[in-house]
Amino acid sequence: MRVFTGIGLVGGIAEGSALVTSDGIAFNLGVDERTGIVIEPGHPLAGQSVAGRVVVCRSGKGSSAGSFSLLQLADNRLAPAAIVNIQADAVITAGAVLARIPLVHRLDIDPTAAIRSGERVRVDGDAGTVTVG
Amino acid sequence: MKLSPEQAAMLDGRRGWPQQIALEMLVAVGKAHDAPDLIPIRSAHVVIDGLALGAPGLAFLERLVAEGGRFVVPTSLNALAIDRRRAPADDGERQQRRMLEACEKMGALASCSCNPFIQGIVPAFGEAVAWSESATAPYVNAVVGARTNREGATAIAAALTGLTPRYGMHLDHERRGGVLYEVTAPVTSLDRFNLLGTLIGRRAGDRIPVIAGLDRRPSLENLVGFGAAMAVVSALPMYHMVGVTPEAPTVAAVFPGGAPAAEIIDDAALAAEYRRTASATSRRVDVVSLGCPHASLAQMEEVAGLLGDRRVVDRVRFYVHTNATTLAAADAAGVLARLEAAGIRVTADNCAVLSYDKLPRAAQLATNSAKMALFATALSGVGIHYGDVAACVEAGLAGYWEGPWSSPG
Repeated sequence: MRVFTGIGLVGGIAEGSALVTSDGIAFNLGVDERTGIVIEPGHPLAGQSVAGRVVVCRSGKGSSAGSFSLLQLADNRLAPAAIVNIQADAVITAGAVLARIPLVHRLDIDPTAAIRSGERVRVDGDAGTVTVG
Repeated sequence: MKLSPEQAAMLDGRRGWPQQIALEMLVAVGKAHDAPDLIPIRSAHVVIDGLALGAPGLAFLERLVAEGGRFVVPTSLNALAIDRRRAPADDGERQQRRMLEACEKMGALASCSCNPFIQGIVPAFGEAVAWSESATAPYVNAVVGARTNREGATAIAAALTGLTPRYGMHLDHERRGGVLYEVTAPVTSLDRFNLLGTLIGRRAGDRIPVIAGLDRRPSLENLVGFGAAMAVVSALPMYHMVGVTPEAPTVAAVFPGGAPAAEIIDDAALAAEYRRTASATSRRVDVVSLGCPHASLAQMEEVAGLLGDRRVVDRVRFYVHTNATTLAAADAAGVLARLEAAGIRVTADNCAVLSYDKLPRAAQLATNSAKMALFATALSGVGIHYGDVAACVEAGLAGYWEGPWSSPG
């Protein structure tokens, strides 16, 4: 078991299977809010669903309406269980507040390199810790 | 982050849920960017695109109203996905209208435009504001010299509290130049300012671009178009044009540590950007879209002048998109009647892509806007004919594209 420490931005504790990319994710227009599937053409996660996963990615990107896309995903029970960023942006951060998704960033390592897709991950948004395995 | 006693009361719920959820957003975003505190803002500009907010976005806005949420600074609204002159046709359009009504109940001005600058909604130099819609931040920061980050849902939080975290564009050193471009290509028409915008937005990455060498002073419409195009392909909130924008009287002023060597942008670079944009596979034109961002009265008069007494061919949908304010001015000036008599559909509040009424897939669309070209391609898979306003008008009259792609000089 590995424990990484960063900065918790949105509180709460959640657990799930990691979905990892070093790219950013555009939740508006880049993820289908009716299916949870990444639809941005050419994205490394294209075709995979974010639903119930611990999404580990660089940051947010694209349209600033992405905060509400996270809220729509949550309403459809398709939101990520938690989000871990290298550096969180305002779109993902505000969206995580609205949709009550635990969010941690700036770990002591690069999470997109240290965590592999499919690994079991527990995120504590209050303590700012990420536990893998 | 340091909070005043009043802000702490908002955060722990003593001032009601609307101020609490707003403070939670502002504090989380501030913490993510190492903001030391929250600062007061003078105005907010809020996006309530019904397609992006959906049913949960509407429920959020209506809960704010029900629990006593009120916008405490002057708050304008961005473009809608409906034209308010038409009765809502389906559930989506009815939802969009309810989002507008919720914001009006909280005190928003129903300006409904992605181009508030032509409505007289303009901050003052140096003041802090919280404006969403990617196209507005470059104009607010660069052209006006007011200060905003690129806001999303955080603009609603700012409107409810009159506060924003102190980071990014609110800090002097974050507004300095990061990369210098010397433009040797002729850039005079709006379509070319758009191509310059996407080219620089892509090349600059996260470095604030400084543009020198322009051979003509840009108009308001040129600056709005350039900033919108730059913002749609980047996360950049700001640029400088040397001798044009107020914080860049000289190159040295924006590079206090010394200017880097300039990268040249020549006609070949602009022509390559054109080829990247113009994706149409035949000369047929099905749709013409002008007014992205929303057209000014001067732009509507330009179209009317180019038309003369000719008419749009029947099978072409020819749009000029604007806001209700400008539509009323165009009506009073007789310009609206001339455009409509020629068969042009002048829309208010919305546009060809921000609409529940989708463009036909595989249509071929003529425009002078790089932002329209990118969104229409992404959302409806259309082919793009790209050129200046005269080429777009001729395309609407003929039903096919003649070019040239842009008039030089």
